[in-house]
Amino acid sequence: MDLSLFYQSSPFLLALSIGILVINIALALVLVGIGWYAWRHLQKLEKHAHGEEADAGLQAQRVLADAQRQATKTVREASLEAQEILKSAAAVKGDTLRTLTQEIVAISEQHQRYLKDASLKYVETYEHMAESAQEEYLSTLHAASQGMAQDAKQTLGMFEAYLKEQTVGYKQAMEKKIEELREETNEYVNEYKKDKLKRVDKAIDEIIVSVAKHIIGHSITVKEHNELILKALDQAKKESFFSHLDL
Amino acid sequence: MNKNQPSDITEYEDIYANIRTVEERGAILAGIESILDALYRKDKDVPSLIETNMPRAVVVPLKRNLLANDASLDVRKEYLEGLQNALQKLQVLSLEIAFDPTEETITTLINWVRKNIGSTVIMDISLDRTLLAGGRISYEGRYKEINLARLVEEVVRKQRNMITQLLGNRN
Repeated sequence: MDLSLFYQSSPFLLALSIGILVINIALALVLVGIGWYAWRHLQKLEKHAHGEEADAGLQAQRVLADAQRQATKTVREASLEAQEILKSAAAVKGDTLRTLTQEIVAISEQHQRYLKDASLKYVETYEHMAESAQEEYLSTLHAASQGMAQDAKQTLGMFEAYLKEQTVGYKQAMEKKIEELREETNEYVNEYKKDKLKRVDKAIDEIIVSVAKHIIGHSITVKEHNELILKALDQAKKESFFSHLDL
Repeated sequence: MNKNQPSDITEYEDIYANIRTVEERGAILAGIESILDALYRKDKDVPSLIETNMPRAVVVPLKRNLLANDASLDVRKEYLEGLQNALQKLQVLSLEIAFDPTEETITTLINWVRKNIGSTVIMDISLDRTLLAGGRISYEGRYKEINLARLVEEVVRKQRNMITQLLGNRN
């Protein structure tokens, strides 16, 4: 649609459009005004903040200076008091040392006297005890030597009796052993003799048999051999050697 | 005669009657094996084999029994196998003697054996010269020693005292 035709057909609409446009412009101006005012206000706030910051720094410096002065004063007063305390402590120390020395000397002298008395008493007691111990020791030694002598005598007597007994037993055992040994030796000799004689007998037998065999073996003819075998077979037959399985 | 001798081998008596020792039996068994091998072969001459491989003593009876006119090859084979079995059944008398046996000795001994023990007994003769004379006999699990060496030993043992005395007198 063409707008010019539209405006030409309605003057009211035209006036309305102009009015809206004026209002818009007015609103734009108001907005710009508000913005400028806000910017100015912000500028002021910033300036004010910078001012307060500078004031706080100065204030802190003043507080620090006051504290330093106060501290210096306190230290000076404390030093004076400490010096006075030290002076009085030194005086007390001197007095105490003197008193302590006197006390120690007194105690020392007292102990010296006590030790001297105790030593004398101990020496006296020790001498007495030593004499008693010596007497007792001598008495005990005498009794012990008497007892030992008695024991030794008794022991020697027992040992002598034991030796005599052992000697007799040993002698008997030796005699028995010698007798056994003699019997064993005789037995061995007899066995040896028997064995040797047996060997000699056996050797004689073997020699005789060997000689006999040698002589007989060479003197038998084939005919005699045959006859001897037949004799052996006949003898075996007589002894029922071949008929043991007959039923 | 020994009653325990095998009775089922009498069919072959004319053969084993001519066998005296186990050596002869071994030779006949070997000969039977060679004849059995040749029996069905046309290129082998059985009669010649018998003559060459068998001991002379059994050639005639074996030829007579085996080569009968009406005998078939199977019958002949059966006869030979029967003969093998019969020979294995022969009883053996073991004899150890002090000398090498001569033919005369073997004949003398087998005659005695056949007469006194049985016709189915053959001998196994071995040599032991230490016997001097006589023999060592072993038969059917029994053993007997009757020889000169043993007799001499017994005499020496019995007469030892006398011999020792005689030796002592001589010394």
